[in-house]
Amino acid sequence: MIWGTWRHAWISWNLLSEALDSLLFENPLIRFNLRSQLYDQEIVELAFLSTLKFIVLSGSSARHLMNVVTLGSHQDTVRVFSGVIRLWLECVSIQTHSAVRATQYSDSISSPTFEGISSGTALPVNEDPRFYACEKAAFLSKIVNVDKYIYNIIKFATDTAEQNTAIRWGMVEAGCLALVLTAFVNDDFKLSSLTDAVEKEGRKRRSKPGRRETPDADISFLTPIPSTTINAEASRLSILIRNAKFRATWEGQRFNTRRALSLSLVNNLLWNEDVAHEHVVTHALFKKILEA
Amino acid sequence: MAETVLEAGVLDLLLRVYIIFPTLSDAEADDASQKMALLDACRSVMEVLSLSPQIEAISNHPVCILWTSCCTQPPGYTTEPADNTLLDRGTAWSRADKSCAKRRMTLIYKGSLWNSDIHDMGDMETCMDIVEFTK
Repeated sequence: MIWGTWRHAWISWNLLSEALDSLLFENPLIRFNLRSQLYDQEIVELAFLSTLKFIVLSGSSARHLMNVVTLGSHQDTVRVFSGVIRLWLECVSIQTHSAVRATQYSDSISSPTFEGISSGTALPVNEDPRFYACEKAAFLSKIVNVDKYIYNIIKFATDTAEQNTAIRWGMVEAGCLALVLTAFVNDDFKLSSLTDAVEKEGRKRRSKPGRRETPDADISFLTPIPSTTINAEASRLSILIRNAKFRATWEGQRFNTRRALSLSLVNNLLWNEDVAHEHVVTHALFKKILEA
Repeated sequence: MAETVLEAGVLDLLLRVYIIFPTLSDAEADDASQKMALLDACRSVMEVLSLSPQIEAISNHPVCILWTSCCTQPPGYTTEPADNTLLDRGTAWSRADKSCAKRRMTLIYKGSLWNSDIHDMGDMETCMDIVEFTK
């Protein structure tokens, strides 16, 4: 009799599990909310680092990534670009804090560790909890203040913004216009209000006890860059950029290249009348910067 | 027999093979032929399993959705619109063991498994997975 009871309970449990699986599979809302808790923070952070690595190395050639983002939802667009821009701001923070000399090219680009091993031996997976932190530090230090990578990230954003209005809305909401500001960072324009906030969030995440055991830990790094902060920094830059000494930071064609690429990005992002109207102050500020 | 190997976890094994497969060397001719032989072996396993009565359970396993070049889709899946692929891959990863997602993401990063070959479905799937894992 006891065996019969246990067997009945086992069958009932299996039936319940199958029913739950079916419900989860068919209900996108439940699946999305549950899925957002299914990936550990380390996986999410590594995904954003990979996205940034792909973009800065490939620029406009990152067509697959562009296509995937285009196929996604508004939420996907905002999330992906918010995360990438925050990482990029961490890179800018390294530039401003260590006064890294600007370079047009990076000798480290030929390093196999930097480019990745495209087709070789099966790579050992480092289970060291510091793996992400080490990889991020190594990668960001290699790309900091290198013209090619600055140009690539702006070009990628520019081409992605061409896809459709929904993408543009998402990118503007995520704070993509901050990319223009990062192109003009120097000793006088350090983007402190953006970089300090990102750095503070990073320190807070690293200091949280047991963060690796918490699947749905701090997700502040997924939140968009506030437009008020972007506008405040844009207002400062619109004044500084008129100064010839400020512009002399980037000798030769480097300043003009930055301005031309940034203008293309702003035009593509705010091209649609609806988007531009919603962000009329922002549009005016960036026009003032780039037409100086 | 099929039930025995399924219970032994053959599909989980294939999923792990899928994750490391892109990192296997094919630089030399010998390596390339061994890599292809491994893929053929995995395809053979899937073909045999697809003949078993447990075909529905097999089709729902993550490896059948994720490893498109190994697992031929059963009738019914071929009628799905292309834009469900993102959702399907997301669902598959959410069903897989967490360690699989972590390993996949780590190898994508370390190996830069995205290249830039616009005609390669593998590159597209890599990008889908990167975006999925940002959630």
